[in-house]
Amino acid sequence: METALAFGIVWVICAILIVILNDKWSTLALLALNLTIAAFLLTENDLTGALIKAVFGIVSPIIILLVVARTKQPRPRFGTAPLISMALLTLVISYLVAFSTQSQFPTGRTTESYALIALFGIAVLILVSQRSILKLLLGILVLENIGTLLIAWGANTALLSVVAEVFVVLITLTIALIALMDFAEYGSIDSSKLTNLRG
Amino acid sequence: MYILYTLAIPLITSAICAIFGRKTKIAAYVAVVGMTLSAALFTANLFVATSATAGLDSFATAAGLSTVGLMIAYVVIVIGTLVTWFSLPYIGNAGRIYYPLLLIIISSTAAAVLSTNVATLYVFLEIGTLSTAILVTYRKGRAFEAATKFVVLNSIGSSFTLIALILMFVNYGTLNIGSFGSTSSSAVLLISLFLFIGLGTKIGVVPMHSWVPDTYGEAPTPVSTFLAGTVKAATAFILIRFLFALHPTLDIVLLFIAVTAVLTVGVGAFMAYTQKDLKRFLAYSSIEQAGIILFAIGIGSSAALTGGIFQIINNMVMKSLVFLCVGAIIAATKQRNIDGLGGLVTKMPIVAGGFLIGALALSGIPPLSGFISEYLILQAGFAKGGVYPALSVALLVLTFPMFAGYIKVFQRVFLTVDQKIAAPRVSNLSIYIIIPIIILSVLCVLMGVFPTAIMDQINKLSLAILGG
Repeated sequence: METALAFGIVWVICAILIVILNDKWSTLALLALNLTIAAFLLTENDLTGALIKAVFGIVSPIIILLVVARTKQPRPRFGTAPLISMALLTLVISYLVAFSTQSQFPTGRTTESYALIALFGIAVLILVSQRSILKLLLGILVLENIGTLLIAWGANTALLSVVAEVFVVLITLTIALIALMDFAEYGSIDSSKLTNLRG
Repeated sequence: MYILYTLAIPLITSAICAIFGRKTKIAAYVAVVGMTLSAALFTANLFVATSATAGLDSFATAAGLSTVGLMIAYVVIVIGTLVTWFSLPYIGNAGRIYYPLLLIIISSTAAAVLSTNVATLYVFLEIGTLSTAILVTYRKGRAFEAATKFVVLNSIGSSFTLIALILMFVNYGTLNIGSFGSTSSSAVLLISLFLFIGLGTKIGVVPMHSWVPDTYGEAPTPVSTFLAGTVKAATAFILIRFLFALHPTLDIVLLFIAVTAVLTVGVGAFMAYTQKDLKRFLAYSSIEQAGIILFAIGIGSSAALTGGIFQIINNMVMKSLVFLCVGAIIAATKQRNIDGLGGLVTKMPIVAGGFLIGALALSGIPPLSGFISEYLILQAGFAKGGVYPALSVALLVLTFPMFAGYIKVFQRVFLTVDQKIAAPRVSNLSIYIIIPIIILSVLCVLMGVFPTAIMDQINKLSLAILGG
């Protein structure tokens, strides 16, 4: 319980720092560090399990780093307006859910639920407000990590855990690959510049 | 036992195709032989096998597969086989990735339909999604843009699905949906919404539909055919299985799905009517079809589910038929602009016949297969009471532009001869293109005229899903 709560808090802090920091390298380093810490926290005394999780955790940021290096994108800038909206949105959703569900949120653990909701708000905000494919990928990764958190708190099975982590890496790899193709074709990984097709 | 082989054969064939690499002609024939063998084995297992050999062995059961989705998986494999045949002449220089990825998508879709374990389901769904994303880039250029939209939106959908599946385990304490008990209404509400958003994105529900026309428009036609006809319908079936495994079933969730479904039908039908590009027209019509299936889910009664599952099977056949007909037109004329075509009925009579049968079936015209399933769904909507009769009327009215769209396209592409436009050159079509069109046309008619045999199976299936 304490471990899981610590993990949740670390994740929320990490996600907020990602938004605040205007530097892609710090962002990615934070992600890698956080995932590594999480790996050790989640598996507690199981060193092998922790190492496997750490490897999975580090692979995704490395893939993103490689794409950033190859596409020579400017620094990701999130701006202050989305930051304020994110904070407000997170607060509003957290309190609304807290009052309406009266501690009987799905996991039955209100404190953890706040962390999940906060993460969800941050992920949705990134996905709605950002246009760079890599930033969208970061949003997707934050969203996927809600799943990882839930596994840690209420569904700690090896099968689900491995499935979730493997697919986080695979999704990162696929989006990174397509981002490179976009860059080769359009000279940009800004999704708002991909306007030949209008779904 | 043999079912497991039928799923393994496309995977093994995929590996062999990958080994052949640039010898694409050999890879293409290997794919055709592999898929044909898989479909033949599946057919033998369903129609010839004794009770001892039918079904799944303990290994398959341990892997989280069950026989509930057997009929849908069979249609997936059959359509996949026809799509592979069609690819043989259509995809000239297939390159290294085309056949391996196509076979992986076919196999993973069939396996996902058979999954009864949330972890297994997620694995197969994601393998299919990520393979599709790479396959969409096959034609390069604008296809990269389509692939970007596809992979970003579907990955968001996958994240929602993952959260829903984990929440299922947290609340029900098991990964097997057959063993789900009961939980709190708030948990069911949250799981249902996450599941609907996640799988709904993959189905192309409004407002998460924007990837559909771009992806179906830019992917190679056989891939679009399989995605629009089969993957979409199979995902709808998965949604049915998982949604109705949740207890208690919430009326508010069903109503939300029904309203979204009507909206989806409206957007799909109106947007389709305005399209000038044949593939984008069909892409929007597949959004409309997804809406009809979702409406059956939204009604939630046994009769509606029977109609919905029949509509899923019909959609696999009808939508694949019209997409393959459009593929044949593109292969023969190198054109996909509706206004640049005309008078093809005399030059391509089989394709014209196939398109007409598919279009009429999709529009729910008797005695074709689409009529029965759509009638069952609407009847269930009227029987449910409350706001559902009004929603059923709205759904019916909103399908009219789609019917008008099909008539317009058929008239423009096959009948009209515009003197101002040079008649398109039409090259001969391969037998591998014609045979799938004939098979699917015959199925469309047979399933409409003799629905009893299949309806009995679907009735049992819908009762099994509802736990009856």
